[in-house]
Amino acid sequence: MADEKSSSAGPPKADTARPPAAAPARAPVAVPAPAPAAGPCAPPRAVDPFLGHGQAVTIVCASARTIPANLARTLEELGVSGAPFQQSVRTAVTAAGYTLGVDDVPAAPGTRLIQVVTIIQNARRRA
Amino acid sequence: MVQASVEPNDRRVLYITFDAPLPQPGDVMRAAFWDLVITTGEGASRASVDGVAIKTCSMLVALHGFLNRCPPGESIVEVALQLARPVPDPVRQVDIVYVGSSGTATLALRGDFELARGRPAGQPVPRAHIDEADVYVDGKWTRVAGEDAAFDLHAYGGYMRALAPGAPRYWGRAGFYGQLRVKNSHTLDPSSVLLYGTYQRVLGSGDFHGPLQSPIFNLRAPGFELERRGDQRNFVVSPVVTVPVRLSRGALGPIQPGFVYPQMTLFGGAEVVKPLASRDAAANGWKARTLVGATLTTGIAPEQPWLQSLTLRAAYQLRLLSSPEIFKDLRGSGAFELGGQARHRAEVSFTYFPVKWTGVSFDYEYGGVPPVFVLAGHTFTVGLTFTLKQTSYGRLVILAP
Repeated sequence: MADEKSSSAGPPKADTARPPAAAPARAPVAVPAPAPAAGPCAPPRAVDPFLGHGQAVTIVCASARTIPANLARTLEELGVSGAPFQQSVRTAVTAAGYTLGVDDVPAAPGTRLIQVVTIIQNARRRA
Repeated sequence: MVQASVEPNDRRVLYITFDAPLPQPGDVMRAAFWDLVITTGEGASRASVDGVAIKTCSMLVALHGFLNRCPPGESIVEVALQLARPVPDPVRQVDIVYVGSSGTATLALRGDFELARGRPAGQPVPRAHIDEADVYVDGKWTRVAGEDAAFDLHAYGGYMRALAPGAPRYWGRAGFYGQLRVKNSHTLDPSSVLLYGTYQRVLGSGDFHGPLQSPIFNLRAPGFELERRGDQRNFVVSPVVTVPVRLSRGALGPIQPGFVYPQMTLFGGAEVVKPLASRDAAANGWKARTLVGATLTTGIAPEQPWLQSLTLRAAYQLRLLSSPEIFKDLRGSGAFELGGQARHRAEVSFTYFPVKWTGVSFDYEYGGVPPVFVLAGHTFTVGLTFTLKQTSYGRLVILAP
């Protein structure tokens, strides 16, 4: 295994999915290991300007009430109705402090969950 | 590998999603297994991978983002590759090449979204311009020896888009729909035409509550029900609440590709009707129908020889009338009559596709649709089916009645 080291534990961040941008070239990826819930001694939650891939995966899977193993599945295959799914994603993104329009969330029967992730991950933090 | 995308805010990171069978950690977690060919306007160049992070399949682990080791018993569904240099923008194509212990695979990225083209860090998410367009056509042409040919056609189409899509508040969607039904006719003269504007709004957060998703409020207004042979034209306003139901408990676990998890919708509402023209003057006043029903859709698409897919669709509607309306009972005299009995309608369609675009459908039908309910009794039909898309249940999901 190339990357066996664990990084420091911290609270689940909004964008823990993204390996740090400042990592030097040719250096192994340093990504957080599973972290406990934020406690009183935890550092303050980082404010990311964008929703990020990790949080987008979490929101999309929660809205479809499934697990990331089904990211490649369509809404139709998962038995998910598009309109409530669209609203659920938008509600969750807004609750996380980011902005997203109703029409930004694809919800056709043939839409794969990972396509929704790709689209919403760049939702911008609310001013 | 089924999909990959460039991280728009850090173009040195590339996400890859896997499909069943999901890979083992040792199959993907070495940077040396991965290679990239990046093609720009100046030509192609190779890019190496510095590091690999993974996401495993459980929701609990997903909450914590990507990992650098795989917990026992977990499978990998996503990989984040950190590249030695950023993917340039503009870029024409990125080819991801995997050569590892479990074989080889390639994936080409060409789309704007996948390559995050024209999306520099700091730029807000662009509008996806997603409107709901829904077109459905189903038709049959039958010829019985010694008789004229008869047409049987069912077409349905509509378009919806969000109201004030940029507004922070949710206003719902609006659009228009039309439905045409030709039933056992020697010409293509429609027995029923429904035209209506529609307003749709999700009630609540949109989340699942057990097996139920948030209800959807549909308002059909103004609506028109037209029938030429019966000379019946109705004005209709119809509020209906639809509740989608997925027949599962808790979070849905991994499912195989092509399997359409059984989904139902339950709906209930009313149709307020004012006949604009009618064969019977006694039936001209305002009246109301109570409408309840359910739909069920499921299917499987193994895409194997002689078994491309099996689909099952079923719908049931019950209309309870406040006052008598025109109907035609083909089981009796076949004349137009006035009656206040409950109007049942049931449709079940089972389709078997041995090859990709052609299949055999077995249809059962009972009852009729407004404005003139043609009570035809139980009808079984077997016929060839041609389709442009194997499984699409958008029609039943959006507005079943």
